[in-house]
Amino acid sequence: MRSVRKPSDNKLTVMMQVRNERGRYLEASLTELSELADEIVIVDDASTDGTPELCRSFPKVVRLVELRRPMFAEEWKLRSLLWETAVSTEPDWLLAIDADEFLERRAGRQLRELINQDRYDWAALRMYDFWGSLTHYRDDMWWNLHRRHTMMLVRYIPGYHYAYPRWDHHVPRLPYTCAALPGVRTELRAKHYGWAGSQEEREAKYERYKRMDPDGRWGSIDQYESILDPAPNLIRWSEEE
Amino acid sequence: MTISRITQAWPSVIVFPDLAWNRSPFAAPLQSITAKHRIGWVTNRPDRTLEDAPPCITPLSLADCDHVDWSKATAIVLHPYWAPFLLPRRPRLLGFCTSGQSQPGGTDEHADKWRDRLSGEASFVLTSSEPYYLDLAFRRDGVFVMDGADDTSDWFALQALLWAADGTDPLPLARLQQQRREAAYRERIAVAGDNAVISFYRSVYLYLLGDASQAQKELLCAFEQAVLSGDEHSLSDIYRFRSAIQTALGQTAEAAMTYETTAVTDQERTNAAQLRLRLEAGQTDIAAAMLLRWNDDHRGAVARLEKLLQTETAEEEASDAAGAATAERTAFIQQLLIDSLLQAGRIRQANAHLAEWRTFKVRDRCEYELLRGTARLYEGRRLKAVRAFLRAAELRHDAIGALSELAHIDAAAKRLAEGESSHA
Repeated sequence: MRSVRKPSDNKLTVMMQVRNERGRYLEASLTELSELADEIVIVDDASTDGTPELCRSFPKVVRLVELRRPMFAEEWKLRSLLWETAVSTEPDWLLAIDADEFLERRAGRQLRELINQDRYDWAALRMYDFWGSLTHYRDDMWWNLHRRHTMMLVRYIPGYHYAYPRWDHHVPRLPYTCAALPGVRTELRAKHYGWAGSQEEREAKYERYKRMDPDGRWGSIDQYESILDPAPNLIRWSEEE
Repeated sequence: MTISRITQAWPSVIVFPDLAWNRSPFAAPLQSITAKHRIGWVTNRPDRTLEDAPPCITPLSLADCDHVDWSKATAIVLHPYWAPFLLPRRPRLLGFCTSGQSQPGGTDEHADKWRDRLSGEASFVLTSSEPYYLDLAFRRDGVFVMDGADDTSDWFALQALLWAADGTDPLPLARLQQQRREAAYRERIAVAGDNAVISFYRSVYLYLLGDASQAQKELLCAFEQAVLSGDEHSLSDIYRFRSAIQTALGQTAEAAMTYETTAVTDQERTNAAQLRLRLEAGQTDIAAAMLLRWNDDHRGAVARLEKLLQTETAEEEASDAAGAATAERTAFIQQLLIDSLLQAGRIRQANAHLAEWRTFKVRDRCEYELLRGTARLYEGRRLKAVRAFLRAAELRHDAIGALSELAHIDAAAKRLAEGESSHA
C-alpha cells in the first residue's frame, strides 16, 4: 500500500479551462507550463477560434475535452468537468491555472520543492492583477487579490471528498474542500494578465459581467463598476528571479 | 432500621442519591416511577434529604442495604461514588443517571473517572447531556438521553426507567430512542436547511443505527458545510469519522486512506503507517479494529476484537506449531481488546483478559495490579483490593494514590448518606 502523501517523484499536472484564447496568451502560457509540468489537461469551453488545435500542438497536453456548447454560465459544472478530467490522468499534484495567468520565474523554479514533500496538501500563492499593461498591477480597494492567498496547487488524494460550490459564476478554481487539508501559504507570486489589455477589452469584459450578473448575485457590483475607473492605483511590477 | 426487617417489604427500586430529593435533577423522572413502585432512598438522614418528598419515597439506611434482597431490586444510582458500595451487591438491574458533566464543584479529580467506570458497569445509563450520551453510545449499549430536546425521545428515556423499575432490561428501548433522535435531526434539516452540526449529529445516529451508507452521505454534507463556514478543525472533527463509517461498510483499505488523509500530527502519521503495515500483512480485521478505536468506537472495536481473539485462539490450539508471528498477533489483539474494554469502563472484563496476558512490562504489571484491585473492589473483596493496590505501589510509588482514592470515595459515600455534598 502506498502512502497517501508521496515525498518525492510527484507527477505535476496542469489543469486549465480555456475559451477563445488563441490570439491572446495561450501559446506563451502552454510553452512555459510545458517546461514546468509533467502533463497538461485542458477543457475547451466551445472555442470558435481554433484554440483546441493550438492546445493539441503541445505534446504535454495529454487530455483535451472539447465542449460543443459553452458551460460558462454554469461555471461549477465546467470546473467539475475539468477536475474530473484531470484526476482521471492519475496526477500526484495539480496546478490550477488560467490561460492568462503566469507564475513568476522564482515561483516556477520552486514548484518541485513545493510538491515533493509529505507534510501539506496544498499551496497558495499571491495573485496580482495586471492592469492596462504587463508592467503594472492594480492595487486599490477593489483590486487587491494579491493581499490574500490564492490556492493554486493541490495534492490529489484518491478517495478524498472533493466538492465545488454549485455557483454559476466566480467558482473557486479548486474544490473548496481542499481547504480542510493541511496547506502552506507561500510568498510566491503569480501574474494575471486578464486585465492587462486595452481599455476596449476591459470595457467588453465589464459589459459581459453586467450581462451575466446584473444584480451582483455572484460578485460585487461595486467591483464591476471599478473596472471603468479612469485612474486606478497602479504599481510597477518587479520580477523576482 | 427504617423498614421492618420482619416484613421484608423492601422497595423494588432503590435510589443512591447525589443530593437531597428536592435538589436532585432526577427527582422528576424518578417520581413517575412512584405511580407503580415504592422507592427506597438511601440515606441515614431522612430529615435532611427527604424533605418535601412524596410519601412513597421511603428512606433506607446504609445498614438496611445489607438486608435487601438485591436479586429483586433495581438500583438507580445518581452519584458514581456509590459504585464500590453497590456493585458487590449485584442488584437485578443497575441504572446510572448522570448529567454527564463533571460533578458540581469541579475540584474532585476522581469523580469523572468513577462516572466513566460506573457508566461501563451499569445495566443502563441515562444522561441529560447529548455529547456524553453519544460518547457513551460509542462505548456501550443501553444508553439513554433525556435532554428536553424532543418529547418523544424523552418519553423513551422515561420508559427505560419504568421498565427497569419493573425489573425488565430496557436495552431494546435504546435503539428506538436512537431512531427517534435520528428522525428528529432529519426533520430539523428539512426545516432549517443544511447545517454542519445537525448533519454531523444525524450522521452519528445513522452510524449507530447501522445505516452506514446514509451516514456517509450525511457526514460528507456536514463536512462540506463545515468547510464552507470556515471550521478549521473539520478534517479531524468531522471528516475522520468517515474512516469509521467506511470500516463499518467493510471498506477497510479505503478507511485506512481516509484516516491517513486526516493524519496531521506525528502520532497520527505513525498510526497511519501502522495501518498500512497491518493491511499489507493481510490483517484487515486488526486494521478495522484499530480504525474503530481511533474513532473512539470502542463498542464496535470490542465486538470485533473479541471475535478475532476467539478465532486466533482456536487456530493456535489447532496448530501445535503456532509461530512467533501468530503469538505477536494474538498478544496485540489482546492488548487492543483490554484497552478498549478499559475505555468502555468494563473493568471486570478487562481484568479477566489481563489475567491471561503474559507479556508484562513493569509498568504494565503495576497497571494490572491497579486494575485487579478495582475489579476486586467491584466484587466486594475489599481486602484483596487493598492488597493489589499495595502491590501496585511497590512497583510504582505513585500508585499509592489508589488507596487514598478509595478512602476518599468511602468518605464521600458516607457524606452522601448523611445528606451532605460528596466533597469534604
